[in-house]
Amino acid sequence: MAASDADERARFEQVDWDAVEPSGGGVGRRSALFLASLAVVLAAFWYDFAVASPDPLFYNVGLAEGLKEPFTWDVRGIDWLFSVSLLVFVFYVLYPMYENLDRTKAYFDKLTNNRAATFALGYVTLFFFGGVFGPLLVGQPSTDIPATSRPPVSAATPLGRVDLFSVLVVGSLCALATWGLLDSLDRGRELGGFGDVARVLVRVGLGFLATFTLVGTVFNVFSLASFRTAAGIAAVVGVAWGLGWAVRSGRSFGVEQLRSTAVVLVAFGLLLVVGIELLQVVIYDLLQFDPIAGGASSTSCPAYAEAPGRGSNCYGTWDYPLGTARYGQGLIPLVFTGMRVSLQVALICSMLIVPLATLVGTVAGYVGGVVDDLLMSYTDIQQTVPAIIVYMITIHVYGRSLFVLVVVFGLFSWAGAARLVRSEVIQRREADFVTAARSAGAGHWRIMGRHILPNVSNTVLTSVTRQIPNLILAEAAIAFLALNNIMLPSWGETISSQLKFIPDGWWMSTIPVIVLSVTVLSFSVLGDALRDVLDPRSDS
Amino acid sequence: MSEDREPVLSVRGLKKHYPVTKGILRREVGQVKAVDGIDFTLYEGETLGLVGESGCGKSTAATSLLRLEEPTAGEVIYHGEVPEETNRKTPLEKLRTIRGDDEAREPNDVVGFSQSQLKRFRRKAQMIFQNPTGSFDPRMTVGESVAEPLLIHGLDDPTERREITEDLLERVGLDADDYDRYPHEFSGGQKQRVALARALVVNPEFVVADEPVSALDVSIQSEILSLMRDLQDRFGLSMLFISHDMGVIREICDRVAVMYLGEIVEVAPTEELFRNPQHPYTQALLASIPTPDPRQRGLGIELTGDVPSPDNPPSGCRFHTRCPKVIQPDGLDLPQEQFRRALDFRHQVEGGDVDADGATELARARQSDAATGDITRDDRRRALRAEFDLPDELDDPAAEESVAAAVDSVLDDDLESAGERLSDTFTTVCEREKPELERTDENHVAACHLVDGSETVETATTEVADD
Amino acid sequence: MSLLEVRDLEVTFDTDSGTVHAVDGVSFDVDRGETVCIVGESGSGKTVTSESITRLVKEPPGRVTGDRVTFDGRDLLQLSKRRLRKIRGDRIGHVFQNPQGSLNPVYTVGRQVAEAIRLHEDVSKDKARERAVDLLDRVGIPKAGERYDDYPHEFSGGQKQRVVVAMAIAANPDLLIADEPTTALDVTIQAQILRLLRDLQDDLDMGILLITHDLGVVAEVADRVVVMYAGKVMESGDVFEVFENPSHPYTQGLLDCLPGRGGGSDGIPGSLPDPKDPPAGCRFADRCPHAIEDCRTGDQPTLVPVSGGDHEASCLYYQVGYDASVVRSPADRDADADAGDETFTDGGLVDGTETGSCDADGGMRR
Repeated sequence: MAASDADERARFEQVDWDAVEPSGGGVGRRSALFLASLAVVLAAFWYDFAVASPDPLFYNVGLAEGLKEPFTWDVRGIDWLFSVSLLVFVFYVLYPMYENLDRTKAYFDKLTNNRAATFALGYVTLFFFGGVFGPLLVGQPSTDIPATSRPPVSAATPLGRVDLFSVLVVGSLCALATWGLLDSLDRGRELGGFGDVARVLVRVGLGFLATFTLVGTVFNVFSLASFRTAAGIAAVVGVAWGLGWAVRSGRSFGVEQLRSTAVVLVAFGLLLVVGIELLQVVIYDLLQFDPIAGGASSTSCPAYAEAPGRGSNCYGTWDYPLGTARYGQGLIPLVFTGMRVSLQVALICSMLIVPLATLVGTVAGYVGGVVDDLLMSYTDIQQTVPAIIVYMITIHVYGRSLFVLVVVFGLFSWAGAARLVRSEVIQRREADFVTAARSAGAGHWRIMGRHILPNVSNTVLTSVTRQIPNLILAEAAIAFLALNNIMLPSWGETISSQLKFIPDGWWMSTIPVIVLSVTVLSFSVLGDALRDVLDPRSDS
Repeated sequence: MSEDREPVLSVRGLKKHYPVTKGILRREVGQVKAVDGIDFTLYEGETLGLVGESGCGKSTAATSLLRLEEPTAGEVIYHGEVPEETNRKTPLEKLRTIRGDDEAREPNDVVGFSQSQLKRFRRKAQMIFQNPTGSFDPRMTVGESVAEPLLIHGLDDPTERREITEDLLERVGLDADDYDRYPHEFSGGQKQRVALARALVVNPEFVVADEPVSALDVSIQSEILSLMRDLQDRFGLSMLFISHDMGVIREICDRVAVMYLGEIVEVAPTEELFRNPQHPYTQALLASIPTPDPRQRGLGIELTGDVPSPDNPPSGCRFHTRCPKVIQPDGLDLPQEQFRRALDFRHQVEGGDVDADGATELARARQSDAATGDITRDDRRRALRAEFDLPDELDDPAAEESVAAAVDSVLDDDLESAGERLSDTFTTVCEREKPELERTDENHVAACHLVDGSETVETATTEVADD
Repeated sequence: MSLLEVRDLEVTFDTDSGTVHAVDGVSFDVDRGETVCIVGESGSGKTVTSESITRLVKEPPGRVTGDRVTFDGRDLLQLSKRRLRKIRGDRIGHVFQNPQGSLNPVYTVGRQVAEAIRLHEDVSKDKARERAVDLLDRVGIPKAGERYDDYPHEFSGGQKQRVVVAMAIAANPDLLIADEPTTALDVTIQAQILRLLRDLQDDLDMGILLITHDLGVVAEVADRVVVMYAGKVMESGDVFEVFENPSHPYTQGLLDCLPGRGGGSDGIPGSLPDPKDPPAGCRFADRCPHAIEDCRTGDQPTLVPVSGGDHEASCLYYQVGYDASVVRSPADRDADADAGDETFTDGGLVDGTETGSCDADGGMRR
């Protein structure tokens, strides 16, 4: 900057403070956008509720044909809540992340230092998109009695017959093991060389998934074209992105990368062979989780793909890649609908917990004194009442529904987070930068909004992320206690209703169990990692 | 010299007491008198140092005169242009400050300002903090932090704010590009430069700097100090500079006020104070500073004991419990050191901190090497005297008699009569009467009984030699 | 042979973003009855130096290497963990900056002191109590017998530091390592603690290794001084030599910018070099007013004798082929001209307006 330039600049001693007229604060751009979107959703809700069909809110679609109970909530109620929580998520989590791209990147880099957290983040991202778009893409699970109890599709290999689902699980484990093995053998060179290849592959995969999800959803919802067309488009986009990145990044892909890839693939292949052998011995033989439907389920399995020489036993087909449940519902739609339910639990409960915990914690911590005592006594009392008890009482009045579940758990799970926020606020309140703002003339609202809240947001985010697995598990537990809406195919419901078919129909419950476990584990790992990454004490 | 300048701020009888509460009903069981009636005036363009040890209330004095904490009592008269009252106090505000005397306050008393007046006043008075890390919001860029006061005071144009801030950052020796960097990317010294920029950005009349260089290395300290001096000269700022470090005070201040236990004990122009300290506490403080000259060893006057707790400060002169020059009563003629020790002994006896068992234990510890002989009464007597550094025979017969009797009473576990005995003999005016701040020189005031007329601090005590 | 001989000590820390060379080839000796001060600013590696002598540095991520650290004839770098632990309390006592952190808040101070005694000596509980009271008395805790049963929070900061000193000298150590023992204390209390350390040293004939950033404290208690900067020794030698003949530009800068001199030095511009990637040549070159091109190549110059005794400085100008007079302060040049004439008469300069010497603070209490 030139010196002459500096002379023309405004300088602090030239400000005529008597002439300064504060115009009063306006609403920020983000808030304006959020309010506008919220208004659209509310208008649609009002239209749906008051104009289009006055009654659906109080009438349970799931049980529609059966019981026409007046005071059971409609599934649609939850859909409205879900839309609002998605808006909140977009405007108050994703948008700020985009706004502070540098900081987001810094946090992301720190997070990816932790390998487990990287996987957890990847899975949670998939979980989010699967939950939002999955049901639109694969449709609702529908009863198809002739297709009952089909196992996952399987194929004969030199190592014996294996099913698709087991291969996916064993394959993921082997990929992890390969990485760990090469790492422990100090083959950094191979991992590094493969890393570039893997980066391209990951981009191809992500590009494919993202495009397929969006295009497929549009094609499916509006019945425009088949999945094949969508997959074709997605594959082109994915490959284009991956290759484009490879070219742009200026990385060389030569013999070195080829060699590394070969080494990694060989290692992976060897481990996979061992894994499949273990699968045969432990899972199929010992636990009798057979890829060929036999036993009780075979009796109901028509001989549409009979195994040669094994009587009436049958294999799965590509119609239902992961098999079907007892009433012929495909496991894939079941998994994605369950994912939607879990995502709804996670997002809507968070949407209730975050503001409540922040509000109570901030007010208690900032105001202090009697207000603090009263609020904290109340949180103590509330913490002694388990949300599940409140839920059991509430369903007597409003009937069993996910709506009641998320609202009750959302309203009764914020106490722990509020305590954390309060202690954080008390620390921040005494910080010099708050005194500095006060000595500059800032009012309480400004201090809370501009200094305290941004500094406790990490605490809230971490605490809620760590709370989500509990909520998802609680939903499953409620399904297990048969206190849920049994027409809603959540993971818990599927598990509890299909568990009795083990081992003959093992896939019916095992698949949702594994997805549920991975989800819970991912959120826990991510929560822990976030706590480390976002800890303000490690900022400096 | 400071007398002919215009005053900026006069502090009169400022007090800040923190209630000590107990139980859920917050019953008040005591008060910590952090600041207990201080007076001083800050003149235009000068730097007034406020010096004292930790816990003497100097930081509390700063925050309460800026009304970052509500003072318990006193006046802070602001001599600048008093912002007009734009709106009356809300009922809630009135409820919060149940002092009742607001009506009687002068219109330019900061303590009586309404919220809107206070906000205007905050533009004139800025503060700099000790901890360069803690005084910046980690989630704001330093530019945002510096520009925040502008925004608060209504400068709505973001371009103008940014220009002002970038210009100021350059003028405190940083780069305009630093606007978008975060505090953790800066070193302590750089952060203190940013802090200076933040304090200056609204063009204040005076700045309160609370230990602004204490957290910095010496090589950085002088950099920041000279920057402060430059900026002060350029913008005619007045500054209240709080520090515990006499070296720093000497470097930057025009006048110095010395605080002890919530009170100001001495005020003088800097060089005058360093050359001719009047109050024994100031003398001890100056003497305690290790000098960076190996040929001048000796840590000066030894102050016995610790600073008393501000929740129950000593009566009279608050320094009398540690003062090496505490005044003897007319009847006594002891060496000063012996009198000091005897007074210490008396305070401990009165406080019930001494007893026969303790004496026995001391006696045993003293002869732990010398076999297992029985502890005689004489041993215990000697141990007790040794504990308080009292010689076996005091130089004044009356005093000796009193101490001997008291020692015996203590050994008989009769603390009451021991205390009576001692308090009859060892009395001091310093304990009974509170000294007023008295003028010793044109600009020099000190609050000590030794400071008046004939008796000066120098003649009263020449015996207290360097250790 | 000296009590403690440190030769070429190196300490590194492995961090995510690289290896930090906290201490890089530091050598010094401590004798019985002698006080050696390591002085330096934050980040100079002085604390790590003191902690690595008895291997208190956490390993990993730290790594202590070096030629040798000989204590009373034994190389501490070679000792097993168990024997080191024995030496740590028995022969070498530690006092840390923050007395708060050195005392366990849930035990009475007496018990903690007695514990320290019983760790090194097989004595009965009663005997240990007696010894503890004696120790507390010795470090100047008033009414030691009664205060034995008080908890740390009932003591003031200065008294807590006294208790910590009592624990450190419980086993009559030969060497006391005190890391900024007075930094957390007020000046009047600091004077008390320094006085206590000096008295104890006279009684016990200990060697004291005192780590501090405060040149005032150094001048008060040191016999010899080691000036550290960015993990390297810049200058070392007899305290009088170093203060009166500061030979390294860094030492000169430090002494010049002590506040309270009234001269208004602008400090030493610049900041510490990156410890992960220290520059070539002299570590101080970037901030040095006299730096020339040669200062920025090669390694840190070796320590060479600059004046009487063991006074050494690590500055290129004192090497053969350079003009040492460039970096000598004006006072020294006069001294050289006067051919050894003692310029420093007994302190007490009045106003502190003089330049070149740092006795202004000395003047201020006359």
